Formats: sequence, C-alpha cells, structure tokens
Amino acid sequence: MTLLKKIGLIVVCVFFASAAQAQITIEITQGVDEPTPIAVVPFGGVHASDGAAIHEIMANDLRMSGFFRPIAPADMLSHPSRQEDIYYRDWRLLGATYIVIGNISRDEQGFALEYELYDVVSQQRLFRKITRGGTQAVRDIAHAASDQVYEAITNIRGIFSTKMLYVEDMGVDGPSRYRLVKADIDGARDQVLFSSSQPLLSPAWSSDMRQVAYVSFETSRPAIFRHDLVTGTREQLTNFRGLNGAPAWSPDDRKLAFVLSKDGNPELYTLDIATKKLTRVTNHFAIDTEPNWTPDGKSLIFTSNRGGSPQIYQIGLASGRVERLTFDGDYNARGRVSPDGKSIVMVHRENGVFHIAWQDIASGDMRILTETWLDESPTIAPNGAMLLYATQYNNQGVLAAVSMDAGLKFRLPSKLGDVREPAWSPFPK
Amino acid sequence: MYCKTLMAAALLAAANFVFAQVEVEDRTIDNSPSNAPYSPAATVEPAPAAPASTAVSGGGNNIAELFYQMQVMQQEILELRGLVEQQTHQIKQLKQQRLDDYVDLDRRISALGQSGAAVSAPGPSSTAPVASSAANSAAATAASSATVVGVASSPASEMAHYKSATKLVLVDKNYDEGIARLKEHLELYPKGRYAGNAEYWLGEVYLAEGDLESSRQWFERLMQDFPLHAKVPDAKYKLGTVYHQLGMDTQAQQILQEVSMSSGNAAKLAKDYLKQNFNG
Repeated sequence: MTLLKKIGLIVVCVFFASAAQAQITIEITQGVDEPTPIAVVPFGGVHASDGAAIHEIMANDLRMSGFFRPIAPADMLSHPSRQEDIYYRDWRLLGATYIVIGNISRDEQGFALEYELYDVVSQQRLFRKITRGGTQAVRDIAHAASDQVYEAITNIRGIFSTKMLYVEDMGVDGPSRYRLVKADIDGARDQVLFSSSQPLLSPAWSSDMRQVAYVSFETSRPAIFRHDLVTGTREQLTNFRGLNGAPAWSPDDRKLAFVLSKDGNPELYTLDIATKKLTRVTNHFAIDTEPNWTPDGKSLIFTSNRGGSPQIYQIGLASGRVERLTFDGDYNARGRVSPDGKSIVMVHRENGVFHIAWQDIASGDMRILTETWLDESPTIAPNGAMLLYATQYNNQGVLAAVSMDAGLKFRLPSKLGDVREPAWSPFPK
Repeated sequence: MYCKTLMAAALLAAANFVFAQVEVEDRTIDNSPSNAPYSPAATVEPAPAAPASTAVSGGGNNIAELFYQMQVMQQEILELRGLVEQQTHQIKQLKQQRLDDYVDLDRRISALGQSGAAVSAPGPSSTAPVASSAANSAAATAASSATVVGVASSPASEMAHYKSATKLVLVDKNYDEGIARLKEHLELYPKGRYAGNAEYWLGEVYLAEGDLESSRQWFERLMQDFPLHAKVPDAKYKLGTVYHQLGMDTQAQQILQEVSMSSGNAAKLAKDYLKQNFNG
C-alpha cells in the first residue's frame, strides 16, 4: 500500500491533564449526542504522592467511554465525601445525574479507596465499594473504580482496567527504531517491552495476559516470538522459509495459529505450545492468512482469495469445513471475531478506500464504522463495545477507536513515532 | 516495509502474479529483449532456461506451456469458486426471503379472512373460521404478544369467546354481562392464551364501575398468575392508581415508581401520575 496524503480534519480536541505524561493522549472526535453528566467529587482523605489524583483519572476514564460528561471539580458547589453532606438540590442545579464520592486511606500495604455512587434523581445510593492497591497502583485503583461505576450505570462491563499493545516506528534507524509498547487503555503508563532495529509486527495477547506473541524480523527473516511478560523471557517459535506471520492465541492459550508459506503459498497452521506439534489447517493453492479464533476455540476465521478476491472465511478445526462469511464488496480482510462470537469486524474496501466495517454473522448485515483513510488492524475491546484500529492522521500513523454503533470516535495520537498494529487486551483475570 | 501491507498487496495482486509469470515464460521462449525492463524477477528466472539449449528446448517449452495453462486454470477456478460462493449465498438469501414473504402473505390473508368472517357472522357465539394472530383490534394485538400458549382443543373458539367478551366491554359497554363472560372465559380456558388479558380487563371493568377492591384483586391476580405478561406494566400502573384511591399511598408510590423505571407508555403515565399526586 502506498502512503496517501491525509486531509486534516478540523475537530474539537480535548486533551487530558492526567494523561499528559503519557506518550499517547486522547482526542475525542465524535461523542454520543447527550452524554450523561456525572460528578466525580475529589475524594477525601490522604492523596497519592505521584500527582495523579484518582478522581481525575476516573473522570478521564468516564469521558473516554463517551457515555459520560464529567463535571469539573471547580464548578462543584461543595466537595462532599460523606452521604450526609450531599445536598441533592445543588447537584440537580448543576445538572449532574450521578455523583461519586469517597475517601482514600493509606496503610502499610498501600492505598484503599472507599467510594459510593449516588443517583441524584432518585436520591438513592447505588453502591458502596472499597478498592485496594499498593502504593504504586494508584492508576489501577482508579481504573477499577471507573469500571465499577461504568458497569453500575450502563450494565456493560468497563474496560478501563484493560491494556493495549502497539508497535511504534520511531523513524530513525538504530537499535530501538521499532518498539513494542504496552500501555493502559487510556495511553498512560506506557512501557517498552522490546525494541529492535528491524520491523515488529502483529502483537497478540494471550487470554491470561501473561504472554504476548509477535513477529520480529531480527533474524533477517520474519519469525514468530513468544514473550513472557512475567519473567521477561523470549522464545522463538518459528523459523521457516518464507512468511511466518499473524500469530493468534487460542482461547485456552495452549495453541497459536499463524501463517507459514514454507510449502510455497501462505497457509494456516496451529502450533501446540507445550508439545511443539505443528498442524496444517488449510490446504489450498490460494492465499490463506490472518487467522483469528472464534471464542469457543473450535474454528478459525481467516482471509483467503480462494474466491478470486480477498474475503473472510471460517474453517472448523475438527471438520475442516470452510464457509465464506463476507459477500459485500471485493475486499474484506483482517477479520476479528467479537467476544460473543456473533459478529466480526474487518478491513473493508469501498471505492478504493480502506475502512473498518462490522458485520453480524447470522444476518450478514454490514456496517461501515470509520470515515478515515487507510484504516487497518482492528482489535475489539473485551466487552465488545468498542474497537481500536490503526489509521493515518497528519501524515502520521495513529491509533483510533470507534464504538460498535459508530456513535463514539476518538483518536490516540502519539507524541513520538508512527503507531501501528494495536492489540486490545482481554479482561484482567 | 510492513509484512501485513505486503500481504495485502499480494492478495490484491494475486491476479497480476499469474500474468507476471506468463511474461517471464514468454520471454524465455521469444527471447525478445523488449520485455527486459519489465520485471526484475525475469533476471533470475531465465538463468536456468538459457543453458537448457536446443536439445531440451522442446521439452522445456512443453513444461512451460503446461505450467502456464495450470496458472490460467487456477485463476479461472478461483474466479469460478467465487462465483459459486456468491450464488450459493444469493440462493440462500432468496430462499429465506421467499419464506418470509410467504409468512407475511399468509398472515395478511388470515387477517382478511377473519375480518370478513366477523362481518358475515357478527353473533358473539359464532366460531371464527380462521385462527390467527390478526392485528385489527386492540384485544388481538395484546393476544399476539401473550406469553402463555393455550392448550385448549380449539384455539378458534377460544379466541371467539374472548373476543365476544371484550366486545361486550369495549364496544357495547355492557359491563355486567362482560364481567360474567370474562369470568366464564377464565373458567373455560384457565391457562389459555387470553387468560392474562381477561384478568386485566376484569380489573379494568371493576375500576370503571368503581369497585376498587375487586379491581385490586384482579390486577394483583394477573401479576401473580402471569408476571411476564405484556399487560403487566399497564396493570401495575392501574393498580398504583387503585391503591392511591384506596388510600394505600405507600404501596401506590412503590408500584408506580417500579413502573416508571421501565420503558413504554405505562412508565410515562406512571411518572405523570407520580408528579401530579406525590410531587415525585
């Protein structure tokens, strides 16, 4: 694909103070029509010393979800931290629908946040919870509390405690030109897992979040590596002639599906991690690539041009039966199954432009989610409500996110290099 | 640069590969220099062909010809396979669409036959000849969404009986007869598909007659017998107003608030009623 020039969009950019240290920040480009106003009142008690106030991180999380409009602490008439100090009339005047109050305490083990969620309209407490964490876990505490608030109001599990992987191309030749980065989903706490002078591709999380697999060109030909995030050890899994690419973990983390072209043209294989047994899944003279497991682990979806143009197919691992899933358009690739297994997202070409599209598997209904150019590598949030993808903005590779109903859109531009190949983690166990 | 983009390009250019191969082979046969600047791959490919020289050139040509034909056929097969896949998909869609259309048509004809029968035989005791979930009256609409499926021997007579009862209430405003007929319906079809609706209408009729206590009992019985019935939100709202008129304000507020949390018409009515009577 050649690089096309990107027309800059004029958008309202919202920068977040709490994410300022992070390399990646968030710009909301399209929110829902009427986000629910919520007041996250600055918490009472001790404050974390690292400067990141928990209530700010929570407000930022809730804003990022697109469903909420947090009220600035400066606009609040009071900062209650106990139930008896809440004057509902004041909050109704401010237009707040929900209030979060709480207290932070500190002991030898770390911080404990005791927080409560109130419905202003019914004047009722929806819950009261305590979240604990070590002294370094202020962000974990905040994200966990955001998850609870989000779930209590929307009935959808929150994704603020999840992580992402991405590949950053610093654009300067050298030993750390390509970097594999792990970060919180809001872009904060970015951490370089591995850097190389040669390209890195296709990072993939194991479902227990303890390992990642990716393609590295460090041995001069593409090879698939397994990287243990707990011990930091790396293991080279494949070293075949030709293409070694697109690793995907099975839902039980025992197998890895990927593409090899060792016998001439790209075919799907699975590798049993423990026994190192390699099994060939597809056998067709057309190209078969980009495998992704269905949540039941019984089949793979993949891209193939066996029908003359790239389309997404599904193959049963036991039966070997192949079924075509996409029929709209002459290019559908890089399919990813939603966590409920009912829909797929993919890269779809329309009028020569690559977009991210969503499709219901049973009905075949397709919806184009993005308006940007050269969109690639969609990766779905574990709650199935959003996806991340890579796109171009201001001639730079950036990550962007879109909700599955296309109602909410935001960009995560990097301060440094080109960012590509995002991978959204599963829920932390 | 990036493997993924290379692969995408490869997928796109799959067709071109075939013709690129063709060019290479043509060049070895024709040895025409005009093709030289075209593909860098050509500089690698012809190398073994050149020393093959005259003796084996015939066999080489045959193999090249076969290879070329195989490539063409592979491409042809890919395209045909795509066509078959698309047509299979279209046939599947057409089959489904035909079925949907038929069901829709059947529903409409049934509805038509029913309204015709109602005109020709308006007597309340007449049994409607066609049983279906027609949607031309409020009662029938509610019936179609009823969750309890009747086990009565004749669904047609069950519906006719229920309709005659609701007609007495809604059209003729003959409440005493209507109550008797609705109760009779519940005796005949205690688990029938209209039992929930009959209980609801009994509550409504008693409310209209000002018999609040009986009204309360029937609404409560509906909620107990058919908690998932489509009429339950409406019944809850009405029950709330009944409680209020009976002076049971706590129960009234509780049940109205419960309804107002749901969605639909009853929720709105409940909200308005709460606002007017409880400043809530």
